[in-house]
Amino acid sequence: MKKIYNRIAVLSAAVSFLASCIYPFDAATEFTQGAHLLVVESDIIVGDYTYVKLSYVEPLGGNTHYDYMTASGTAWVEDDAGGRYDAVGSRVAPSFMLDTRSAPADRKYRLCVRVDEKDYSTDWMTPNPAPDLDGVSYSVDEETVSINISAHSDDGAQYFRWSYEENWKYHSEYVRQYGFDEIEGSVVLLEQPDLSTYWCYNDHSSTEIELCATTDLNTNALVNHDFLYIHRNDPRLMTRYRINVSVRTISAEAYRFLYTLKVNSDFVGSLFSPNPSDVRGNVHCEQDPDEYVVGYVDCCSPSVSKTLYINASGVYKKPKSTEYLFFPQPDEDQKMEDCYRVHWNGGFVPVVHGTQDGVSGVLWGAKRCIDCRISGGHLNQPADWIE
Amino acid sequence: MRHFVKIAALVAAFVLGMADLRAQTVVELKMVPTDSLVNFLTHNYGRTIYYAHDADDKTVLTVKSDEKSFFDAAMKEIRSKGYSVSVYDDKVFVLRGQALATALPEGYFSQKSAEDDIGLLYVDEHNTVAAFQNMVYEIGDKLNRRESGSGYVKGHVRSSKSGEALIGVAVVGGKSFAMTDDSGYYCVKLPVGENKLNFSGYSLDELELKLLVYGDGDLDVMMNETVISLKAAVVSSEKISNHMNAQMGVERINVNFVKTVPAAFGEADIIRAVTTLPGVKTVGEAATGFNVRGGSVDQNLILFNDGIIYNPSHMFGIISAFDTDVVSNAELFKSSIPAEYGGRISSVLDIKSRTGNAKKLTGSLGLGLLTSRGEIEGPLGSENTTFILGGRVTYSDWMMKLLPKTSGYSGGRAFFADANLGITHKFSEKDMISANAYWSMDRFRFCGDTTFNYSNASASLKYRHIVNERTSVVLSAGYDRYSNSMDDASQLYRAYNFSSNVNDGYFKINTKTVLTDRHAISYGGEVIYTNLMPGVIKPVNASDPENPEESMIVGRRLDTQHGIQPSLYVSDAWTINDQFTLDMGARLSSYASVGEKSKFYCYPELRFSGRYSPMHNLSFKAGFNSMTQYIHLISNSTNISPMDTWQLCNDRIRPQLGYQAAAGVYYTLLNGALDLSLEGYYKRMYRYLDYKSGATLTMNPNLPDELVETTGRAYGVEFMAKKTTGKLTGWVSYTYSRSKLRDMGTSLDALINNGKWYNAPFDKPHDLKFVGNYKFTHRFSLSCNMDYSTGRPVTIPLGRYRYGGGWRFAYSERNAYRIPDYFRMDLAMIIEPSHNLRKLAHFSMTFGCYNITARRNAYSVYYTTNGGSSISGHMISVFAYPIPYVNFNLKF
Repeated sequence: MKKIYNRIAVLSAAVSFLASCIYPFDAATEFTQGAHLLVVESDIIVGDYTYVKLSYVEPLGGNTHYDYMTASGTAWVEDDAGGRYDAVGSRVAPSFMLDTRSAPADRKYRLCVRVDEKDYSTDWMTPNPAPDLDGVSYSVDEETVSINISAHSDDGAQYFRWSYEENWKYHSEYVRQYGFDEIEGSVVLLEQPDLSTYWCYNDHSSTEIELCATTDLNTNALVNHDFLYIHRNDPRLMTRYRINVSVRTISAEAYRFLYTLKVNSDFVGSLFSPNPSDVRGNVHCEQDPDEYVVGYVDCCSPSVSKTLYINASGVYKKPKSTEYLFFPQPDEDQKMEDCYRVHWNGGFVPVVHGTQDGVSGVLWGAKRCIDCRISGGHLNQPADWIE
Repeated sequence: MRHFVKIAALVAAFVLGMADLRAQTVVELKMVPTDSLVNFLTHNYGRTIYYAHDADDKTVLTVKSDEKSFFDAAMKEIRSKGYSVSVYDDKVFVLRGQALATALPEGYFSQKSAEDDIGLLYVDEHNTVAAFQNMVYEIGDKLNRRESGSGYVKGHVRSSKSGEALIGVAVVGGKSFAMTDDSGYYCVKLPVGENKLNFSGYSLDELELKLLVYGDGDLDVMMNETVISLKAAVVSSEKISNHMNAQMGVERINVNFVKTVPAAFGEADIIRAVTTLPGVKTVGEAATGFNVRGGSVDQNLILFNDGIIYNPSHMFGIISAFDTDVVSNAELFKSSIPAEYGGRISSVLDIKSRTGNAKKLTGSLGLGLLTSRGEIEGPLGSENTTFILGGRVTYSDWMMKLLPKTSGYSGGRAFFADANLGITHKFSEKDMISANAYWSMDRFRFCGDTTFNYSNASASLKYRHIVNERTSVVLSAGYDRYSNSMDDASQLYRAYNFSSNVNDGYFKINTKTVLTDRHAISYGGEVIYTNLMPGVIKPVNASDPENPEESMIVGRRLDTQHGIQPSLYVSDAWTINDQFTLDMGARLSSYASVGEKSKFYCYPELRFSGRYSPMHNLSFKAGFNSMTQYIHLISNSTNISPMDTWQLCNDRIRPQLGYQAAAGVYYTLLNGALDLSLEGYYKRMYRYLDYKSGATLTMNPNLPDELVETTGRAYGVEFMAKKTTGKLTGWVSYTYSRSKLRDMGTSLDALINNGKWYNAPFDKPHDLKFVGNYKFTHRFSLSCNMDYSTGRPVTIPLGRYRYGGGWRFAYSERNAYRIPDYFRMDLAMIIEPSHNLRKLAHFSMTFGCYNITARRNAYSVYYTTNGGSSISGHMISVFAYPIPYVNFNLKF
């Protein structure tokens, strides 16, 4: 039962934390050579576009992973009735988009790839049924917001895989009220508060492999299955948060492959961690059957997705404010120019009016206090964003 | 009483008078009390006789002799009733038990010849407890003395202070050698005539007794614990056994030694002490169990009072589950495994608990950083019945409270405890029964929604009977259990409880017979019935009334496995001559799985070892062992997890087989102060179970489909120099060893490392260890422990690729790389209790520092994808900082 492994992994991490220390370890100086293995990532989507990405395994210490993308190659899908589904649209090697929208659901399919004069193909597979996505919701406890998913399959599918995309709207800590006159070396009150860098948007796509089996349950359903935990003072919850979850069902073999991949990546290193396992997929080289190819290509129905919005109210806990510098309003004969310049050159900016101990003045803070983009976001609202 | 005296005097006067009258010289006293006889002798023979009459002494004596020799006959009769008779300055001292020391010990002022017996007192051995070196103990019937041949001398060795049986004392007399067993019993064969019998053991004053052997006889011995000697032997009995018997690779660990070895948090730890020995390794600090000569953890048979201990650790391996306050000693067999042991293919660690003080109620209290301990022992009614009760409990929750809130584990709990109870009753010198019970448990909760439990329990009953001078038999029966469970409510709709357990019931009979002065045989058998429940999972419904949620988990129970292991064995220790000794053993081991997957296995096992000693301080040995194991531990981690499950053999899972050939040379020099040994071994292991990639190992009814058999090979040499006397004692050892495995799956499977040999996870070729203790004074000593070893093998990623939206790893071949080398040094200052024996309580203290050099030893190195977003390398160091500790002990 895989779940027990997960718990033992948590136990393992806990014991490690309890009794041990974790230090950075420089991989590049210890281990160098990588293995050049072909990686085929794809799932045949019957009824939608099929995306194929080809790459090679690159050395761990390498920095330019684009060097290990295949420069040439082609991919297509075949069905057991002789049908062929080729790449469409602008092809950017090594990624392909195959038009499998019209592929009938009652046939068997396989993916074929040709790279460097070698032919690769998968086993024949029948499409997994589409699940019903019952909902995406969240719950809040003292420290954390938990995002959960509810889905089920009326067709007997027991293995679910999902991915998600997050978007969130947030703002900088302060609306800028002051400017700095670099020539005069003085603080200038703006005519209007500057909102141009106050509101931002950011996004993130899931990078973890999210999957779950219902083989131990009395129904083929996920019920409020927590999969993402966000601390309540996380900036993602500052204003408005959105998550779009796409779910599909996968085969037992694909589940086993992906679970092993997940264990090898996420549950390693601590006291009771499982040893890494070999991950063999279902892509075979026609010319050399012993060639090791990374990847498991499954055959699925199109994903179903739902979107959840969460507003900050009642969810977000504002963290302690950023430290700032306070400068009292200078007297007429006070020369603050040098002091201001030192802080301006040090990356600080005048932000807002403030008081301290009854004295009026200007708060100076780091630039990120007034420019939300410095936290990684951008100013462009997503096209489908709903306020 | 006066009536008796008068009557006796009258009878004697009458007899003497009649003798005069009849001109005869026969004198006879019938059924007179001791004090009457003493009075009679005093009055009639003019000798000063000191005798302190005890009103409870109901001894009556009958003496008949001619008048001239009546006094001597009376003395003999007195001795035969258990009195000692000593003569000093023509005065006679009649005492119960120990004889009066009428002279300083031999060699007190000068080195006297051992053969010089001038001034020695002769003591009849009957009911005598030997404790003095200035006496000659007469063994056997003097009147029916044998003119030639030999006699068997047997008895028990006990502590003079507590009356406890002393285990592992080496008894050497001429060519004969024996070690006391767990009841302190020994039996040696000595030639008729004058002999010396030497007794030695750890922390005991060496005792050499002079014997005059007339035939078979008993000799119980009291030994003193070393109190003020600076010449404490580290393992003196082992020194002797190295040259006297054929066994190899046997390490005897006394608990007093264990308490001097610095340990994490100052918890005296018998498992950690074992790992200081050459040939014993672990996969790292905080590792459950240990690896012996290239074997895996589950290939070690760990016995505690005959019960099998499946998980010998608390806190997931940080400290061991044995309370050293109740443990007596341990024996580790890593090469020559006696034929009476079986069931594991790598080693046997046999741990015995103490029997309790037979003289008075005593106890001890201990206070450490992690635990508090208490122990009480004493006689129950009489000296013949003793008990010992000990317990240990942790307050390790304080460690959890130290964790920062951001860790996510700040609300966690950690608790463990263990308890021991032993009761021993001696029916007679020939019959003894003992009962022991042991229990340990651990409970952890880290995340608030997941709780782990595991527990060991065992109970045993042992009956010992000495059949005659040559034969003793031990019957034992018991039950042991290991269970684990886990409650997980991280997802309410699938909250569950998982548990598994192993239960053993066993009966054993072990018999030892000294056939001739050249052959001592052991024979017997055992039956072990094992009931193994590999897993049950149950739904757990949320109990929150405001948020009730029903778990959708389908309750399941895997089929309970049943197996029975009958076995028979016989072995012979054959002393061919002074130079050659041969131990030969055979064990017929069998196993039957009961139920649907029934299967019967039967394997003969051979145990051979031989010794050749061209000189008294030089020995060459060689041996061969074969072993069979019918139970497997199924694990996919390098360190054994308490949630790992066991699997009995059946029609699809075959037994593990192991063979080991070893040879060694042993040399003692510097007048016995320094022992050198060099041992080499080669070992093969078959059918050790590994698992297929991505295998599900728990709650899997088709587990055999997920497993693959591997073959293992291990070889190495172990060098050890051990200093056993002087202010500095200890040893330094170096081991070079290799341990490799190979997947024996079919070609259809994805073979580990393509079917080539790969390093076992505990393969650490170079291992240098130092354990030393320096006594500054009688009470203050400093202990040091150093350990260097090659880093253990690890599988690390060589490459990366993007898959599923994030970075993933491509790994090297299995265990192709190594973590950085390991080095650790620990120091401890030990303050022994006051040697004023009249003090009501004795206080001792140990303070020290674990990992004093603050070296950040790697437990493992690994890489994470940080949820697929980026790659970073990490190194875990379990004890990355010096851990100072202090331990207080109060003995009363």
